[in-house]
Amino acid sequence: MTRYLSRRLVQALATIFAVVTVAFAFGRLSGSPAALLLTENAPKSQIVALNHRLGFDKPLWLQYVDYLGGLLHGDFGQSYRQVGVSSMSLVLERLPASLLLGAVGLTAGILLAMVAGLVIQLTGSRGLRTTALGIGAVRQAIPDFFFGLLLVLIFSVTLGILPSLGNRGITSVIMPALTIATGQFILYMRLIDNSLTEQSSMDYARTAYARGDSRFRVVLGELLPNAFLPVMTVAGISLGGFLGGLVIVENVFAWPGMGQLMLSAVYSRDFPVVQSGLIVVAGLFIVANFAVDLCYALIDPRVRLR
Amino acid sequence: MSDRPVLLEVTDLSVGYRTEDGAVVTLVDRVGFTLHEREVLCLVGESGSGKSVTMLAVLGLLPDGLEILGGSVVYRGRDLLDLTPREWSALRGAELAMVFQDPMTALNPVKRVGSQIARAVTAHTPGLGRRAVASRVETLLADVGVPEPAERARSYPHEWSGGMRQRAVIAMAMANGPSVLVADEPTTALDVTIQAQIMRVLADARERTEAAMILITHDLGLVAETADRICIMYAGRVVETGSVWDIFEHPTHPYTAGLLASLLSSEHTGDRVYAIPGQPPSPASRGTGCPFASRCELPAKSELCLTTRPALAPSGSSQSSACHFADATADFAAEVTA
Repeated sequence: MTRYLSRRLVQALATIFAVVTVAFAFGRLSGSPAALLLTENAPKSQIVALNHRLGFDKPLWLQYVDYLGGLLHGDFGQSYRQVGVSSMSLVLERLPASLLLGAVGLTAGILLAMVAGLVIQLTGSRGLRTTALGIGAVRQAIPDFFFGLLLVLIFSVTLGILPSLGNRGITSVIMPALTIATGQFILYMRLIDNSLTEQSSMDYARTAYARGDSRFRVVLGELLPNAFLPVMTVAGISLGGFLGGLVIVENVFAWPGMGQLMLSAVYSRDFPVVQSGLIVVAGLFIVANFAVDLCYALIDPRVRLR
Repeated sequence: MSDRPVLLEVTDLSVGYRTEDGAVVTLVDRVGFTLHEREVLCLVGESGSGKSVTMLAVLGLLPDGLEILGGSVVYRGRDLLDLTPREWSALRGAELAMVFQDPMTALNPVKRVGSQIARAVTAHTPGLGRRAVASRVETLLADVGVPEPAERARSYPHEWSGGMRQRAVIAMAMANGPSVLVADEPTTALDVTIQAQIMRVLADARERTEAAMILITHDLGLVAETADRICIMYAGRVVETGSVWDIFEHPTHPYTAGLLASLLSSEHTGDRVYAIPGQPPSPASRGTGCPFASRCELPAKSELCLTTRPALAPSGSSQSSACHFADATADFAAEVTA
């Protein structure tokens, strides 16, 4: 266990270091922010002065070393736009809203997929499977932003029952979460369906039937724990893509989360905010995959963490 | 043996599957046998002869895609083929239990062995207290010779050896004192050194519960030691049935004669052992004649064998044989064994 934890820690640090470096490099490649931060007709002297204040007149390697040095002291750099505010505090301020939306959306998607997979397995209905796969595929063929707009059109504009923008109470989370959940549905439904079907032909399932267990009992009690293992693995791995999709959904619904902040930070060349945001995203990815490992070991006794 | 009451009667049971163009492929063709109380019946045959499928059909455990095409399975006067899933659940594990071939895969890898056996207990005795269940599981494990049963019950299948796992599977099958135990090649997947132990465990378990057993095997040595009666299956059909004594002494089907002749015996050390030529026909190409005709070396065999399927008919005091020339088999048998 100690060996596992230390190995994991080294991996996590390496991941964050790589993310920080790439984010830094890509940011600088996209040009000097000073011209964008100032008004359109700002004199050259002002641009030079700002570049000096932000450290852009130093050689690139020195900027990088300064930045890394700051990170080690817990200094993530101040926002270029909101002078005097730590970029990390801006990101962390937005984190809870993103976590809420992401967790609700992903959980709902996986739950929906599990219910569909279990019902298909319990009824043995091929028609149901075809229908669920069809609906899931059609939904996946619609981009998230467009599906989100459709929801707004139906539930906010036409029916007027749900708020279309921002975070105003519990009802606000419904549409963005629905967008995410339905988008994730097909992936997890296919996975659970395949996994349950595979498990149902295993010898241990026959043993369970032979001792008198009902189909319901076998599917839920025996097959599901085994079938859930690959779901967790995929959830952990696809989290990166999922967080990318979250940025889009947050912007469609003006959800005050990290995604919105990051996108506007990219537009305005607010490098420290982008970099801090990416560090947090990398951290989330690491924590989630660590959690997957722990759950895996918890469910499957053959897995030892080392 | 046959003076004991009948427990299970299988009549003309056929099992098969439908191909995509609607054709029916028959895997088990009008198989019938009778099991009496406390009796050991051995189903013997090569791989693919339909012995496992027959027993899975009897227990209602056929995998998806296979279906029962006809016949009846009567257990203590009840036709099992009419049972609802709920009635099946009440019967399976309580009165009809099964031990499977491969103990490495027969247990759920993510659940403790004890809890899997406990499930067999609670499935048929709901409302039993936790302590009572745990002590019952301990007794069951101790009965099948698992050392330190209380501790081992808390471990997972991957921590058990193959032989120990098969003991656990037997404990699970015996949990409710079934009347019929079906053992599907229970020792095939095990080391030779463990096989005798497991057969001993099975025999002891039957002694305690007075269960009758249907043993599926291709090991004639095992048959000679264990069986009261034998059913020889070939290409989805019963080709010969009778008491173990009669069949070993004077087989009345050329396939049985061939099987017995291919057994190694100390009498004929150094001689070349008889081998039945060829391969059994695939289920889709069994034809209308005797399925064994192409491999049969009976001198008396004729055109009749290729055109007409022989029915199972009495061929001795306890025996029946599905051969047109059952009478002529004795000489052939003597020749191939010599």
